[in-house]
Amino acid sequence: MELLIKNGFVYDPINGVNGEKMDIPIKDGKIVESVHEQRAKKIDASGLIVFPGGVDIHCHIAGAEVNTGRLMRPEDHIKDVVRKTAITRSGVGYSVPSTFTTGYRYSCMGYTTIMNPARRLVVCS
Amino acid sequence: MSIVNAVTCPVCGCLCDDIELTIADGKVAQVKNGCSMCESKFLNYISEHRTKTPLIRKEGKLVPASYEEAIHKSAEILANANYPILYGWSSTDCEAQRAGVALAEEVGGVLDNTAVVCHGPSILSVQEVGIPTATLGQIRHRADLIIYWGCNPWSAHPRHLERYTSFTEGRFEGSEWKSYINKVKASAGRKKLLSLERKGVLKQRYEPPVQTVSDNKPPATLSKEGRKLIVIDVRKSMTAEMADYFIQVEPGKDYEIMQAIRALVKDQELDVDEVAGVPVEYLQELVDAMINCEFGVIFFGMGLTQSAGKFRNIDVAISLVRDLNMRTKFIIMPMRGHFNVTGANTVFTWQSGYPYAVDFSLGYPRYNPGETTVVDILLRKESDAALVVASDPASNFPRKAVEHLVKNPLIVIDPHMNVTALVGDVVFPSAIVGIEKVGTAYRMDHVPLPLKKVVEPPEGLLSDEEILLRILEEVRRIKSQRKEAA
Repeated sequence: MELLIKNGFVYDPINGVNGEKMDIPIKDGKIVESVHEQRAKKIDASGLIVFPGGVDIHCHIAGAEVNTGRLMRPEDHIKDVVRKTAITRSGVGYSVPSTFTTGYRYSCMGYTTIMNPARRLVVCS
Repeated sequence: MSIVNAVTCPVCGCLCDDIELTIADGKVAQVKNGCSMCESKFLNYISEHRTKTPLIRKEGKLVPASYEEAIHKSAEILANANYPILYGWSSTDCEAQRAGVALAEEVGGVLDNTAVVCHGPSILSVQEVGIPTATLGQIRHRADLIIYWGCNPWSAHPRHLERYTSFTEGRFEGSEWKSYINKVKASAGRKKLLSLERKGVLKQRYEPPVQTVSDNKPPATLSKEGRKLIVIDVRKSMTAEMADYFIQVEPGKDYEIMQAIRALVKDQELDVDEVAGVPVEYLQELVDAMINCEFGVIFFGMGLTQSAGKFRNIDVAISLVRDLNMRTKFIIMPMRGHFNVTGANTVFTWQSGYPYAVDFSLGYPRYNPGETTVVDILLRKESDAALVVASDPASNFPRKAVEHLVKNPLIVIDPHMNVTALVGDVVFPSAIVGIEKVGTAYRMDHVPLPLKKVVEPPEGLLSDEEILLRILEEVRRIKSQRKEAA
């Protein structure tokens, strides 16, 4: 599986890339030197920012303590409802969002890994 | 023959995880440590009445069918329904409940669990006033005042006292088991003496008046050292027999007496002599015991949630605990019945935001108890199909509600042929969670515990989770086919 993310503004602090317009070739889930231009699936990212997936090393989104809070906020939940789509699950948001919604919102912000201390590793992708 | 240790018992909300099973010839042969309910579940799970294949109603009769056929039929029922209800969930594992949420969302139905006719009012009150709580382990090691209000654990949660409260040896609080035995012995001795006196074998002697049930007078044991057990109920239950102090409240007056106790906790004077049949001076002694404890706990049951006042009773009970926390440490906990009813509320909450009565008909979760609760939907005759999992509403719901439930297509998933299964249109037998299938369940204090698989299920039998996931898959297939056709 080859992937080519084209024309995005790339930010990569470790390698000192600061908003340069470049292509990112990916093969089997890893960034590589180059991929086959024709065979690779291309994503046009012009005008968009491309950066490594965010890692939240400390959050509280899962587990009994958050769920107690979630249970207590029905009046908040009706203020922010999320419909089911063909690929995503429904849910509610606002003060303590439901778990699917939390994951989707983290993903939208560019996070790929979220850690809930004392509970378990939560990965959304 | 093999021995399996540390098995979690899938019967009541206590979820005792110290059961030892002896397995012989692929069957449970012996149960150690369990209560009578636990033993009867582990020893009688295979009965002659247990069905081994799914059943479909054809021309008024339930006839055996294959899983494929039954799953297809159920998926069609659910895909064709406008407003199906998906009810039960409390006696199965969290994995099946998770599949249930996905299915309810896919078919736009109403997801509800047995809490609706049980501790639903408790949840409403928790949403109103919050809840100060702790794990049962903390209570076991630290609680020195245990109050059971409107519940009878000796019969309903037989090992609750022995594992978590009065009769357990905690790190900081000892067991009161011996004093209970002494009490039983003394009372048996007294009865023997009285009978001998009646027969004329012994000379009549002066007998101090025996305390009767209804006079509610606090005994001297209320000011004793160590763990104290107080039971408050409308009748003298088995648990009340062993209590240090039993208060008999007039039926339907729990709210009143609790408000009176709240006033006394706040050092206010009452203008009346007695509240709900209990003299105020006795209540004052109860309040003193409450305030003087180090760590108190109130367990409450159906006596509060399903009697007059319903969630208002719990409201005031939690408020009482809040008031007591200004003076000492106090917590409150509902006595959950089914082994995984807490799990159902927990799973529904984290996936949809709401603990029960979740309506997915608009494409997003909606919650309005009274409107989206299953009994109310049935009474308003709004549903047009139903899926019942691990529950028996036909023998527990109001008659009018059951009439409507039966009128529409009814799918039942249950290991045993219960009343609901007998009137169902598609009936799935399933493997028993905690005996024939691994899973996860939540104890009444919201601690998740693993359920073990100790024996193989009867050949070809699927678990609740597998059946639900396959129905879900089939519903999705039917829907996408229709989309293509249209």
